Amino acid sequence: MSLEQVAQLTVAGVINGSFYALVGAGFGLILGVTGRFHYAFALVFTLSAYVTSVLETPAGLPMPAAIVGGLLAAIVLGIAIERFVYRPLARASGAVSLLTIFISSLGLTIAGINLITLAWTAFSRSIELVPLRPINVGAISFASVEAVLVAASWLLILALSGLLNFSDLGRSIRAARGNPQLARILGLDPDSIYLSVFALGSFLCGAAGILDGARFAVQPSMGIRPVMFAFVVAFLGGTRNGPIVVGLAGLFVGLVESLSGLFVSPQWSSLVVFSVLFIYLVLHPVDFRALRASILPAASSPRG
Amino acid sequence: MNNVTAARDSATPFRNRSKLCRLAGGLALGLLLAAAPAGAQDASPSGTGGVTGDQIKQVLGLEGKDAKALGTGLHFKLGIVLALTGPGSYYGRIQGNGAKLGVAQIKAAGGPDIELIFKDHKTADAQAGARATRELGIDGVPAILSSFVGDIGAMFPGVAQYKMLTLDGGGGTSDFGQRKPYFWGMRAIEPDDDFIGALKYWKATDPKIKRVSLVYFDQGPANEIVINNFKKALAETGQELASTELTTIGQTDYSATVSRLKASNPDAIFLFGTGVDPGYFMKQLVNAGMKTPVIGAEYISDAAKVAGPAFDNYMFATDWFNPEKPTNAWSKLFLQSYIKEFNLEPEINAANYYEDTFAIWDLIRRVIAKGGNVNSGEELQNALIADPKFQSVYGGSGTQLGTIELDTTTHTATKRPLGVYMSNNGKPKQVASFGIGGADFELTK
Repeated sequence: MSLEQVAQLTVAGVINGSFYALVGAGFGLILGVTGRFHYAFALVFTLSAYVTSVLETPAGLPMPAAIVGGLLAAIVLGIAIERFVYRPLARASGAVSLLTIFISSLGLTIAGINLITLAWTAFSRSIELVPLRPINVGAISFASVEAVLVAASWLLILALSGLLNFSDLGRSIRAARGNPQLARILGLDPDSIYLSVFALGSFLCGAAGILDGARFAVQPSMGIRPVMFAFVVAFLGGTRNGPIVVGLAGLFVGLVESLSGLFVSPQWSSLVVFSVLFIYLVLHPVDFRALRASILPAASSPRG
Repeated sequence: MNNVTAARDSATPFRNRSKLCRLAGGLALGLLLAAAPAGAQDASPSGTGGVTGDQIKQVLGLEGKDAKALGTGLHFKLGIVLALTGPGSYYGRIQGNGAKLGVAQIKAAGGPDIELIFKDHKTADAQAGARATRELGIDGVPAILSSFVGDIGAMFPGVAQYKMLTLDGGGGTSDFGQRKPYFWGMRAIEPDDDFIGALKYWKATDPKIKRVSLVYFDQGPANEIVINNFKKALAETGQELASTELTTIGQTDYSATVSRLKASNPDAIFLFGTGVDPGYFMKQLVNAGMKTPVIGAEYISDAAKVAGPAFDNYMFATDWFNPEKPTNAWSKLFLQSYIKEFNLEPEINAANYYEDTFAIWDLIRRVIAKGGNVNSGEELQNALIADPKFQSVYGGSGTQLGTIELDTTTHTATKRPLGVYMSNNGKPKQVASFGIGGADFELTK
């Protein structure tokens, strides 16, 4: 084990960790506020990358316009899923809505990915976010797109944190997350808050999808692995904590995953990450009752 | 203004806004779907790509054969177990195209009506492969075209139990599929034959290359065999092993692998990756500033698309079908009909499943000639063992078709042209040729 190798793996960990931070912040926001286990996050992630790629290459739009298109697609899909799938299910299934929403989300993802494959085939596509070139700092190297990914991820996390802390919408979201019943009594509308949360979470998810597509490639199953990591990061960071804490949990996961390569084959890095989650959950069990409590009032309220 | 009127009036802008939203949504959807690559869609399975039955009969030397000898009017069930979903779905799609074209052309040439029964092994999912085999066995299917070496071995017991002749043109027999009852590899031994060709190429072109790393994807119990055979190939060429790196099928992030490769600092890397995986690997290797020469075990255009310019440094050694240089009359016919039918250039995966479908027809004709039962996998295999040779779109020249020959003990190919190729910006260029086991290695002049 050389110092150079440790440094290179640390940089790789920061890059991956920043990405996990971004998807974790989006996923954690939705899970923490609405209590929806939004597995279709994977579909939103994939769709935004596809739309950006399609708008960029065959449609010939400039990159900024293609990115806006991809982000809009993510937001629209996220809102539509909440409005037309999760909300009616939550109303109908009451106490078991956590499970029904998760299952419907799974089905939606499978169907959506197949529709994407039907529309744009299973062939890989690319996104040319920035010209790809290696950046060398001493013996350490990384790609230009990875530098963009790190910067964009943390800017978006900081922006989300700012929005949650300093805007009226953010205060409403935090109120709904902290004490949904009291928020309702105070006249806050959970339906519109949930839609806003889905819009924000989907925006972050869409941005992550575009960055991932630029770093690797755009292909139908690209969202599955990130959603697993988003889940790990959201739980490690705490579903009721702010995006910066969740982001730091993402960074931690990235570093653990990468630095485990010093001791075990990279093939086993996921095992290391999920072992960390397992140990964490054993030591800090998730309060599913609290999660359920945040859903039940929404399900029983006249409007949703 | 009463309450109802007020409500209606206040709702009107929202209705208009809703209409506008729907219109904008429709336009956006239309724009996106219009940009869908329609040319890459599969064509109708009945399409022959503009080739007539007479052309097929002429090129295969079947003119003058009567309808009975050709199997006209027979219905034949052919199972085809592919990666239709999962990270290897690219393969399933292209392999399926090759088989569908073969079926259509066989029928046009007066051959049997072959019913392709597609099954999905979900990209090396052993349970899916085993289930597919059982279903085909229960359905009384006499023959199968498989992939991923009988879905990484999970199909072997079912294939033997139901006596279904199985040809694998995706991975051949590899190491672990040799000598398995009813299972035959229809290409070079992957990756052993590629190892020796790549190492000989480096030895001939850059004698300074001594330490070679092996990056290979996880095949479970077969991993040890792969490493041992790589070591044997290194011993044969006088090179040594720098390191081994295990990856998984469908892996996209190679940052840790690249970092470990940097630490072991090999003179060259052999990459036994599959599908689009080499594209992801090369993209990250090159972007990490590593200029170490890489030879892989395969090339597909989708991997080149993933890697972009990073794939220019990629070479590969395998029994590849070169659409730039079809070698014989049948290869040319296949090439032109495939392009016409699917609006894509064919590559190894299409070519292998195309010619394997014809190999099945060849066996059907042999069984008919002997007055046997074409729906018996046992009789089909006996016909294969009696003469383990088939016409091929690989090799040969002019009207002299290529041939693939099989070893009746190991069930692997004993004759198959292989080559070393440079990626060459999406138009691979051959730089060396060799045969099974690295025989007759020669740099291309």
